[in-house]
Amino acid sequence: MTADETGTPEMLRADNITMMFGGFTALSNINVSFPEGRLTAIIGPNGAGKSTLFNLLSGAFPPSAGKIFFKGKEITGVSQHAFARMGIAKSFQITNIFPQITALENVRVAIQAMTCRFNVWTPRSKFKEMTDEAASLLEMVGLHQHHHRLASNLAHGEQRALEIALALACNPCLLLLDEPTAGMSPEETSTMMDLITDLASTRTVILVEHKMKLVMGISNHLIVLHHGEFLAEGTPDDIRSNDEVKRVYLGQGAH
Amino acid sequence: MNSSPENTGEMQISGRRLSSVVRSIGRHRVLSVLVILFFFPFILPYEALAVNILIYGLFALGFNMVFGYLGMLSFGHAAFFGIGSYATGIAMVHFGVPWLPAILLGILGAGLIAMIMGAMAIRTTGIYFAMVTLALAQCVYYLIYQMEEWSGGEDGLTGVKAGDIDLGFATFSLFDPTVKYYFMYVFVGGAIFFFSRILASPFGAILEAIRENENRARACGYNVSLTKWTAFVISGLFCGLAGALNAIHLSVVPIDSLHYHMSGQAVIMSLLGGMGTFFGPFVGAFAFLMLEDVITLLTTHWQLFVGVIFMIFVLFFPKGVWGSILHWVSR
Repeated sequence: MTADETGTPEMLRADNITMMFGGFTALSNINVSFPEGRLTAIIGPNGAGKSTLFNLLSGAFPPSAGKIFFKGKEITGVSQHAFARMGIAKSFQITNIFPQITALENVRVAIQAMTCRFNVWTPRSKFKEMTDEAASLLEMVGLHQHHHRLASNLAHGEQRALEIALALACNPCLLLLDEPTAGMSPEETSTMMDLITDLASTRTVILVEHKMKLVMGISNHLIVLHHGEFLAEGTPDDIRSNDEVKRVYLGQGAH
Repeated sequence: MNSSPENTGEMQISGRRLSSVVRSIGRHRVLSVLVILFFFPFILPYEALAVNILIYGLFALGFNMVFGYLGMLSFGHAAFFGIGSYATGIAMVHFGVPWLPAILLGILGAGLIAMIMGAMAIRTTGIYFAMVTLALAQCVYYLIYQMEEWSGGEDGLTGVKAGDIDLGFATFSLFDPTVKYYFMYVFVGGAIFFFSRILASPFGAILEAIRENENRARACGYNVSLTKWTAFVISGLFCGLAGALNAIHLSVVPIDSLHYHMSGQAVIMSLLGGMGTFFGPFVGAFAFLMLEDVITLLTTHWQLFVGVIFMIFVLFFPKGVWGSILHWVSR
């Protein structure tokens, strides 16, 4: 199932990856491929191994077996910070920001990671272009009115948006989002979905989501996991009409 | 708000005026601390105490980079202070190196030890980091203790004499306590300036980010271990300078300057003053040494009282003296 029918270059590929935690097999023999420019959603019921796959693809830890390729180059076991420097960015399932720092400085320090890591002398205020870039990223995610608020004082939805801005700071060609709408109100969710659609127009996005309905409308391609195993993949329509998927997943909602 | 800060002493202290003073101190932190320290010898009962506060303040400042700004509790900073002292002392006593290169050697020696200790300890966190740094520092202690020919063993290294400081246009004698204070002041002032630059720099921003959220910093593309190690080494350099100055101040290097008791003092001073604040270490050093000085006059069991006061601070003012003031002002 790794072959890409459309012929677009491949961004990320997982080759036969398995992840074991102690004796527990969280993922077994997964083969998935993410072509450039596509918004792929990874879905599945609780315990399907979505987050494990997300962590492997985003470099949080290496797989127990199997290989991961980025733009055709093997990157299995490469450190987390190297992932970001290659242009693979992520947002976490649980909001992961710098709480006691202002929103603007949050994004500024994330931008700085790409250019300026060991300057101990020049005041950071001198790097005006970084601050400007941070401001424009905040605007993009709809936080332009909150530059000087501490990240911890932002509302939950705003914090999630801030995290997206942090992920965008390394100007990624591949963006991985783990349940970006977790805990959001319906209004916040729809704003976030619009933002994700927007982002996906210029870059490859991999979205892990528990709520299947949310992703049906926006993704080009879906991958369904179940009990740590590959179950199905295809367009939203394919998945909707797939009997096996209905049985393990959609069936839950029909009670 | 439009009153000038120097008038505040005379007028009735209103909350808002005081807080504006504290805020402007914060804005011009290097200048403020330099001005305050400049007048220190006139305020304190005797200069030796003022010199001690300078040196221990610098020690706590360096320690605070790891403890306050990175959020890692090291119990091994005595090694940097002590090696700074011994490297300076040994260079001067055994090799006749002049005072200035000797101080540089002290700083570099401490930096070298910090590189080695950091490489071994930095991947651990929490209590393990504290224990590994403590154990490594004790290794350094016994190593120096055993090198009796060089270090003087239990008696310490004696005869560290800087004597007269010849600057070409003028000569100063370090036997004059006031001269000695300002001699130290130049070094400590330079260090404070440099420390402030580091905090304001992009590297300082990374330290904050790592303290706030290590995982996120990693996901942003920062090599967290390397950054922590670098901060650990920089911290060691500052503590090494403090140690080097202490060798010249005391003209001996007691073996105690490597003892873990010394590391504990850095922790206590940082907590008393306010960890992670710029003035905290100096406020803490001042509070600790003043308490020691005052209570020693009353009873030989001064540590008992300092201990109780320390516990009160940890329990009721976890932000320390300066941290509590900042908190009160920012309300």
